Amino acid sequence: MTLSEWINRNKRDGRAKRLDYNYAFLDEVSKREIRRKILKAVAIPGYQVPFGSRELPVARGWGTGGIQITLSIVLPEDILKVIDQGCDGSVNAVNIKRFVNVVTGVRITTDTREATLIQTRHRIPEEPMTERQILVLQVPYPEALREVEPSEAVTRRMHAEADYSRMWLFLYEDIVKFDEITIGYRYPVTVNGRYIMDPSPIPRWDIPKLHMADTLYLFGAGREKRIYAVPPYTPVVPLEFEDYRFRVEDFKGRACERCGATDTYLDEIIDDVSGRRLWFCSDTGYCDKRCSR
Amino acid sequence: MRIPSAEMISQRAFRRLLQAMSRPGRVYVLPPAADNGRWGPLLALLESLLDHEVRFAVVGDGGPESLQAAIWGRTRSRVAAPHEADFLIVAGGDSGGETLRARRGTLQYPDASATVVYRVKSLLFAEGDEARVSLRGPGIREEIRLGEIRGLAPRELGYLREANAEFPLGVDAVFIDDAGRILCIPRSTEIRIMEN
Repeated sequence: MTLSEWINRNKRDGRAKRLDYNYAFLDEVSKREIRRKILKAVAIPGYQVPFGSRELPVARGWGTGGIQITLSIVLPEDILKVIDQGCDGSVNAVNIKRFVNVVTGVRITTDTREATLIQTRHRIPEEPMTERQILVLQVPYPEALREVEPSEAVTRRMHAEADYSRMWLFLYEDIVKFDEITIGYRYPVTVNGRYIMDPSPIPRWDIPKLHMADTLYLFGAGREKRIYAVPPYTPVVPLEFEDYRFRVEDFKGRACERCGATDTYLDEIIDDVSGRRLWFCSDTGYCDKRCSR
Repeated sequence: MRIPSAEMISQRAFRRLLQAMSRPGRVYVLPPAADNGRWGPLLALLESLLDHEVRFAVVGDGGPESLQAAIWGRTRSRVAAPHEADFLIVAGGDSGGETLRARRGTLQYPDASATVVYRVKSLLFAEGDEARVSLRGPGIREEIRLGEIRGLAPRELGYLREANAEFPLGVDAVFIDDAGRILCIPRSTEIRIMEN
């Protein structure tokens, strides 16, 4: 039986039949390895722990790192939210939450405040999160130094020696060419004063949310087979120079077309007919909540 | 009464352990285990992490041989010498210095290091306990002060401090008592022993 047939059967019966698989899909040996790696990741903030990324019923590169972390920690009483670029309703997010729901029976929500476990691709929710929540980020490229060094053996040595001069040089060259650091997403950060880390392709807007947060952040890269973490109350500092400071995206004069918010990260949408540029909240759960007030 | 399956107990135990490891110095309570024996909570915790892929060693008093057999029986994890083990289980709260010899990883792979699990008498701190140790670092908002951990040899925190002096090398410590309370001190935590 294919997985989709299996999901459909579950849907038809109106309740989850989970007997054909272990709880949360993964076998216990896989979960134990992922759990051991998560613990080391938390103990060494910002360090990428290699792990044996498992086959899942979704292709690598579609959030398998995040899914494996979620499956290894999710409890039946959890309330799960999954977002993709801030959106609860996109294909990737819907498929992941349906999958986790079927194999565990967890309740699904779109409300950031209600969720106890949030899996996300490329955004951190706008609403502040608390210490009883965990955010799991899907990561395509875990190595922040990959832009400046293609060899994994060499970047591993660079991290070991905290030799980050080439990363700084890269930023300097950017300034020489463009008079600004032009990295828009995957902005490199220093975690706990030691490791340079790739925060996943979140916009600059979300970088300050990692710093001294109440929430535990877990990062999973399934294709690249790496797990890393930012524990709560950990200093996370974007790379910057004294005279070229880090800054977030500037949305001055713009507001969400739908809810009118002026304090959120906005997506630019071009109307195909009129050619008009419109701006909408990227975090759809928060936008919906504002609209229903 | 519905007895939760071993998989669910493991999943729940790990979730608490994850909370404890990301918030060092704070006490969390493991969910009730099906096995209420002397080592029930300890075995439930180890069952969520150990299998044939890793090695463990039991040191200290408190019946290590039968504990070793129990861990092997439940997890099928391999027995190793203390300095080679991935999990060093200190059965009586006194490692006799083995914590200092435990694997600390390498600069390229600091995760190839031991997790030290101390079984202690009690992680219940009474109000008005004199602070013995101050913890700072990731997972701690500013500072956490702990009183005496009952059943932990006084020099063990000093050993941990020494083993973790060269971050990112080091060991990560989990303290557990027989009531299922746990407390973690990962290598990222700065341990200051207070002179009274």
